[in-house]
Amino acid sequence: MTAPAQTSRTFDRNARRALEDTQLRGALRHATDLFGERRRAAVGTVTDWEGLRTQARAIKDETLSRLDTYLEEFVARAEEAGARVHWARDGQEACSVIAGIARDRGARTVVKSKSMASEEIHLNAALAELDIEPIETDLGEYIIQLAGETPSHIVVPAIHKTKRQIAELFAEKLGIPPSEDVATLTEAARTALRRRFAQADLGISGVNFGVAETGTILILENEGNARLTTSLPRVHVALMGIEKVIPRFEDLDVFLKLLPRSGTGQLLTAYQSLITGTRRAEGDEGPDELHIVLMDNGRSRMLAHPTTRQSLACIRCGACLNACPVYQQVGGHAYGSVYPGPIGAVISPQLFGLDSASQLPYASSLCGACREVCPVKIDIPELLLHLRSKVAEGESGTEAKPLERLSFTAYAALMQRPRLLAWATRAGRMAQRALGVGERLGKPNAVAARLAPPMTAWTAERDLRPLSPRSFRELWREGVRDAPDRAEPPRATAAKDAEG
Amino acid sequence: MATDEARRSILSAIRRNLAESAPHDVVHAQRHEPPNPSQRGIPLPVLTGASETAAEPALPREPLARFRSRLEAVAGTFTLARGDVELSAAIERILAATGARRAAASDSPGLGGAGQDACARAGVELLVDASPAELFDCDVGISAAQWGIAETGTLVLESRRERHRFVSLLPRVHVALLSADRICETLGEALRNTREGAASETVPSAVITLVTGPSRTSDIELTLAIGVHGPQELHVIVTEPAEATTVTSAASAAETPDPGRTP
Repeated sequence: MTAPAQTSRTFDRNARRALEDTQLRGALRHATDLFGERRRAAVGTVTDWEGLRTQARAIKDETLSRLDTYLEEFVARAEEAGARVHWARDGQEACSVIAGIARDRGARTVVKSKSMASEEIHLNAALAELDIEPIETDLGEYIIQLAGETPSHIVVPAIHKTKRQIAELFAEKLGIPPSEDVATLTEAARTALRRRFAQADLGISGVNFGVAETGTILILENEGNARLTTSLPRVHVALMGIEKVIPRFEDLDVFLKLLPRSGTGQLLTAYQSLITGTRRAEGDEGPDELHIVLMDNGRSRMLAHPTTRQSLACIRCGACLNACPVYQQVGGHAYGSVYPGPIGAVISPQLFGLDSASQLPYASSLCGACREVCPVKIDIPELLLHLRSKVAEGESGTEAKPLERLSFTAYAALMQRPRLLAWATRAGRMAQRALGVGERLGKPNAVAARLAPPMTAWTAERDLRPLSPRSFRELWREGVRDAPDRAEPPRATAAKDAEG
Repeated sequence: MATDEARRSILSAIRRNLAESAPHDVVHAQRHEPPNPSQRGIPLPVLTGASETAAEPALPREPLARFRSRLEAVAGTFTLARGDVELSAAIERILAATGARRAAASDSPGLGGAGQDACARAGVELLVDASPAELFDCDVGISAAQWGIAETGTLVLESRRERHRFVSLLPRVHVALLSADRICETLGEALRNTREGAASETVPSAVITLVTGPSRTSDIELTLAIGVHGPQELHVIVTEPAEATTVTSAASAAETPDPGRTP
């Protein structure tokens, strides 16, 4: 399976297009405002939210620093409880393992509950090659599957679609009379999918957390489709990124307090399924087989530096998306990656390659809203800067921009030589007078108008201020430091006093 | 085997990358907050029910009342039944209100005759030990819950205690019986309770399901729709012995009034 076609090289173009889509912008504004409000209210129900975040981050740090040990413990316990664990180095291997399980069990109808990891590796496309079409059962994912689109938000994948668009889609694909009534549309999806659940041979799910101590996997949801996917079919396949493991059963308490509140402002989602192995006795309810596919696909590489390692702490709540002023305006599709928003901007380059996602670390004003809301305190701005420096240095085949490099070299040379700086400032002021701009005219952008591209890229959205008549260094030398707190220099004031 | 090779490769990649990070970790630690000590050294933030109600003074302090308040906030219904007669009457009322024709019951001993009586009086066919295929055609599923959680209005269903995995999921209506003395204050307490039992039973059930209200989605234009793939209605009947005059709960014996707190 080749790497996904990345449109994240063209973020700025995608963003400009998204900004023209007023319906999308309205939907995003509505969604992000609502989730933001609800998150704030839910956070208010916990007396020590900061302490909880600190604890969660500590648990994640502890886990990641000994990830190999915890993974081995998880596998041992899970297998004791009857699960079969498969390891997959990359997406291709994971797809191949899952396709193999489906093929060996002659699975024809496959149902799927939400799994970001499965979209990361394009699992549906891999299974389609075996003529198996896994049916997405999460309502939002079902809608975009019918529409042949990709998700635009981690939590509400079909947020970019209106009721009317969904009504038309259901009328076309499900043969129901068009109706914009949400209850009617939901009922139509329920009926259509119930038939599939009843026939399903194999269910594929993601995993929110894997507990090393007991070999338990935990799946959160609101709709009930994950419970159906993981209970009805004879075979359950759970795809789990290696970073999902946590040490102890009791640690679930901490994360279950953080994740629903952060993502949707709920105290808890409607259902959590804590699955430990397979059914214990013949005649018990549940699948005969549980396969856990542990996938790396670039995650282990992130362990190699403390700054990048924190990427693996992410619990996929979506809070950073809702808080981000960039995401709020352009939505998920502009990022061109299955992982959009602030967290997507830092993990997409790491998972899919810096060159294929080189614009994403720049898709940010570094305001830090994401860092404030992250339940596990990931310092996303720090990560963005880390990745930007790699892009600027031309790592991983990103083009090092020669003019940019030259500009920064010149800047560094100038700033390290005070006399040269002073000379350059004086020369700049003379040129400013010669060109007829400066404070006397009071039109700063007149300077910009006289510049040529590519410098106009800088000034297109920024005012270029003229150099002031006296630099701070000059004022300092003249004794502004010793002047009492007043606007004019001491000599002028004394003269005024003398005049009486 | 491919998976063994993958396993070795992944584990060795993890170790190699952690080793590569080690010198950077030292520098990073110097520039950032001191690293948190190991999990065992950090006291849990005080997350007991009592301190949570400090964050929300309007919420009832008493666990049963808090459970009710949270349950109703997520569109579940709450009924208190003392003794089998009241229990049967409560089930009958729900059956009548939902217009059920066919119901299914789990194998919970707590259901006993009350379920059968209620169905008989309401003229509802009752299936016991129904298969998933039969459950797709049932209107109501009746089961017990092993624990309740006051802080969120949640039910805890343990598959090793009762056969209710599908009864609680497939029919459109779920009626759940919960004994009042099984209401825990917090999720943490409930999770601990699921692990207690005979020494051979410290492995959790094949599945533990936490249920907080009926199924729901906001995927269509963020408009809330209740009833998606799971049940559309959740009715919780909290039971007490017939002779109980005061409400009991798991924590009430230990709960001491705080003189400094305004009631």
